[in-house]
Amino acid sequence: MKRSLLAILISVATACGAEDTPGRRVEGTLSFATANAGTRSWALANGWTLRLEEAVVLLGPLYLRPPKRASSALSALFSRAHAHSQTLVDGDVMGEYLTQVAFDVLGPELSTGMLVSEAGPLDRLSIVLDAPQAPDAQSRAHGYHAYARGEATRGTERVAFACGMRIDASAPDMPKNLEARRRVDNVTVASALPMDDGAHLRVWLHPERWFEFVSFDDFRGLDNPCAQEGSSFALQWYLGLRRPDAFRAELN
Amino acid sequence: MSSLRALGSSLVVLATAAQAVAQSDEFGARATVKRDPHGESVAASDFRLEVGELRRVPRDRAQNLLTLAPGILLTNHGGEGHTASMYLRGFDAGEGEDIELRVDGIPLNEVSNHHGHGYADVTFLIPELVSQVRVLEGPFDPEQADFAVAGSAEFQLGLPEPGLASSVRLGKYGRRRWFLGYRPADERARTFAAVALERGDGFGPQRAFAQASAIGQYEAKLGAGTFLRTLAFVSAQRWDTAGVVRADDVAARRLPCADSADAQFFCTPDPNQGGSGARAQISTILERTRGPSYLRGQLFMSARQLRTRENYTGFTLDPRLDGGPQRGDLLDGRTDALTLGLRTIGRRRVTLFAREHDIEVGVYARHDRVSVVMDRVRRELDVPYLTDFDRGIAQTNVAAHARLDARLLARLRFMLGMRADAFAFQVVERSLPELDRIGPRLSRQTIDAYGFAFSPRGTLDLTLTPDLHALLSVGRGARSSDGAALSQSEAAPFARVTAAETGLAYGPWLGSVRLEARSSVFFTRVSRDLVFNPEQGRNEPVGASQRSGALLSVRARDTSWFDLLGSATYTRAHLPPPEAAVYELFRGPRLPFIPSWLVRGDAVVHHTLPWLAALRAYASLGVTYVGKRPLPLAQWAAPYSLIDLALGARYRFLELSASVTNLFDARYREAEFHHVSNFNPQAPRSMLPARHFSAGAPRQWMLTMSVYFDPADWGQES
Repeated sequence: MKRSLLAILISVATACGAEDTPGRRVEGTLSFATANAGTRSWALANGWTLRLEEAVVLLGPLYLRPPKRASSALSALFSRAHAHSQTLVDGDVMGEYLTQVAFDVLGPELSTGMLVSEAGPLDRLSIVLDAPQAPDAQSRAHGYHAYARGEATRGTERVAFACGMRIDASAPDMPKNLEARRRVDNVTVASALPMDDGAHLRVWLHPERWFEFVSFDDFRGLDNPCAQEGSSFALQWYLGLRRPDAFRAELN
Repeated sequence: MSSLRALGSSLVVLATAAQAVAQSDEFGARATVKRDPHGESVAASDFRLEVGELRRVPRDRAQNLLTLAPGILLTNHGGEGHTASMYLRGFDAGEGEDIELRVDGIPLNEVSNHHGHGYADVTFLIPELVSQVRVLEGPFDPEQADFAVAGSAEFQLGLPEPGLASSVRLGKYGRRRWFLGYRPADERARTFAAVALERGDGFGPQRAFAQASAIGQYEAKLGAGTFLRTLAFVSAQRWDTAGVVRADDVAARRLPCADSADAQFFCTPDPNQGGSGARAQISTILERTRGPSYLRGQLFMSARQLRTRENYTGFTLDPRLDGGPQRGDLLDGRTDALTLGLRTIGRRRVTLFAREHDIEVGVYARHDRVSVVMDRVRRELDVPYLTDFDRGIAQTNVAAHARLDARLLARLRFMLGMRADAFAFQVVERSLPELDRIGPRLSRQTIDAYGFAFSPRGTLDLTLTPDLHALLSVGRGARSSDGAALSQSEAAPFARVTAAETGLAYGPWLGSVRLEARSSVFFTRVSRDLVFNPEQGRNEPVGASQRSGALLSVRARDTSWFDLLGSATYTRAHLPPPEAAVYELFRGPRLPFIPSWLVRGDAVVHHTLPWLAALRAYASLGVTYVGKRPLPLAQWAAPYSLIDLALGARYRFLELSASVTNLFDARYREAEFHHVSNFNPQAPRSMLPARHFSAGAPRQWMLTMSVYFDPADWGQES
């Protein structure tokens, strides 16, 4: 009995130092880099060797997602609003970086601005390949979502290409949801560390995986397989670009 | 006429049933009961607040009279015709979702309202007619019904002064109000008719409003101790809503208003928000006190319509698949509801072992037919483009309670009660997809569900001195499920709350001054809090939550000089981890938005001036202090204080008054929210919850001229 009373008294006495609301807002940094930086040539699994002379992709917004099923503290909180539950959306985003960046795949690591997030375990990323926003991004990507110029060779065979990818309503019909079509989901994050103040998130790109679905055999002898909008080359490239393993991330 | 006869017959049946209970004289002794069956406190936080002179403290809405009770904070994010959200003892009770509201026994909480299950509109009430507010904080009275999770509040109406009263009010921001009330000189205060018409431009963009209310009540004395009272009200209103703004938009001055801090603070991100509503309601009560028995039978009926147009998320929720621009998230919600119900109480005082005890049995039932629709409206041309839901709901609540007030010892009384509620639901969804994974299907589907809730409640009341009581109360309360959240044949779930409090009630006379003081410490645990999950389309448990705190309320009244009321409440609300012990009151993360400290003061000094006998002057002051509020992500909202002031004088039939609210023109965030939004459809879509707020009203002044006269006097003079 005395012990219970003591516990109550201690609980009341320490009330002023009790916990805050769930969750904590933290700020980190973000950068994009190409895996095996400095390399311009890759051996593809289909036997071709890819060499890129120019490659720019527009990336962003980027969303940080917490582990599935373990809803973030925020989602538990805003679902408590009784009157406006209809207006509330899924809280399955713990952080985000909204500014679109034009990333030169063959260039050095690109550091961006501040990354805002809720503290906690980071499970995966969603990267949106949004339509070009800023004028300089448009010009760097030649007005496309992504642009690549280079060649694929196999022995004496050679396929040169200079392709721009546009992901819009007129693009290949898969999937139907354009928003989903522009999003690369389930990009894995290799780190046991939780997202916290000062954390650095680095997103690695694997450009060679973009072209692993491209059937270069079909484009032998063509001047430029991307001469026409919506060509099968662009579709195959698009499928590669949206592979979750074309990206990976690590949190330090 | 036949309708009246049917109504009368029904009342007789109800009254007879109640009387049968009341007259069961098994203990063979008789005593006299009070007309008010609950004359004694049910709990330390049972506040029966006579409005009296405190009506002179500036309050432009009857709902604001709830703040006479400690621990109640009102915030209004929806505009002048929109009922205010209520916070009570750690509960964010929404617009009535967790507080049962009644007007003389008529329930105001609307089941399955599109805006929130339990939405209770109080805007139709004319403040001049509110004579008493009873606020019972916590579920301790077995008569408290559905939604009494945080507590309940009941308004009693009456017109204090006989004759004709008319007032005209002019105020800043185009505010105009006309009130007319009449009470025949030979009738009691409960017989009256009144109307109020009001309009205003509002203190910023999208805040104009107009409303009209008519309320009439007639109380007929049918015999010794027997009264028949009929109350009816009709009201209609329309209002614009500024809605909420993102705090970062205001800071960056991105909103479509002038580039000043004030213009941005009071701006609106969507100019199409607003609402309208109308209601007609009638109630008849037969009340009889005879010797040791008291009985009351009530029938009520209401027709209600509400429409709200609100956009809290901007351009975020449009489920477009074609990649086109977001069309906008304006939600156009409509509710049409019809409610029929009855409430009876039979109470009997008996004497056993030389002490008086009371036995009470009550029956409560209501049936609601509700139609709710929610459309999404495109910003361009303001036309609907999608139906979120369209459903019809029939909900029936049948309940009974029994209560025993026993005086075990001369100084010890205990109240023991039990309430049982049964809820039946039938929901027809009318806008389901016409295709599922199997194939074509109808867009219509019906589900039904049933549920029971049992709520024991009890109080120990120890009389320390004739003026000082110590009370200990424990009770369980329940909130029914929103019909929208049910599945076929589901045992309808409830949000259940267990509450306990202990405190003192002190009510002595100090000379000519009546002192009423109450204090309590309280604890409430919601063991299985249910919240609506929009993804799952149903209520889902989110675990336990608990609230605890303490309050103090003191009122001192002198009928010829002053009426002073002050209260302070400290509350903490936490989400305890599963392993937390019951006594670990403050363990676990805090619930956001609940202010820790809430202090309210109301003061009126009034007196008939000695040098001019017919001139009665008064000054009133209202002070509100809202302490810092926890916000999500371990942040805090700044505390704020508001001061309201009024001066007035009455000379015979003429009264003039001037009032100022928010005297120091404080800028404060009346309500804060935390959710995902994006008010710029061209910008990348943010999916991170951000802070939003609705701006509190700036300084406003009002001038009121009132005239009082009794036509009967004129007749005598002539």
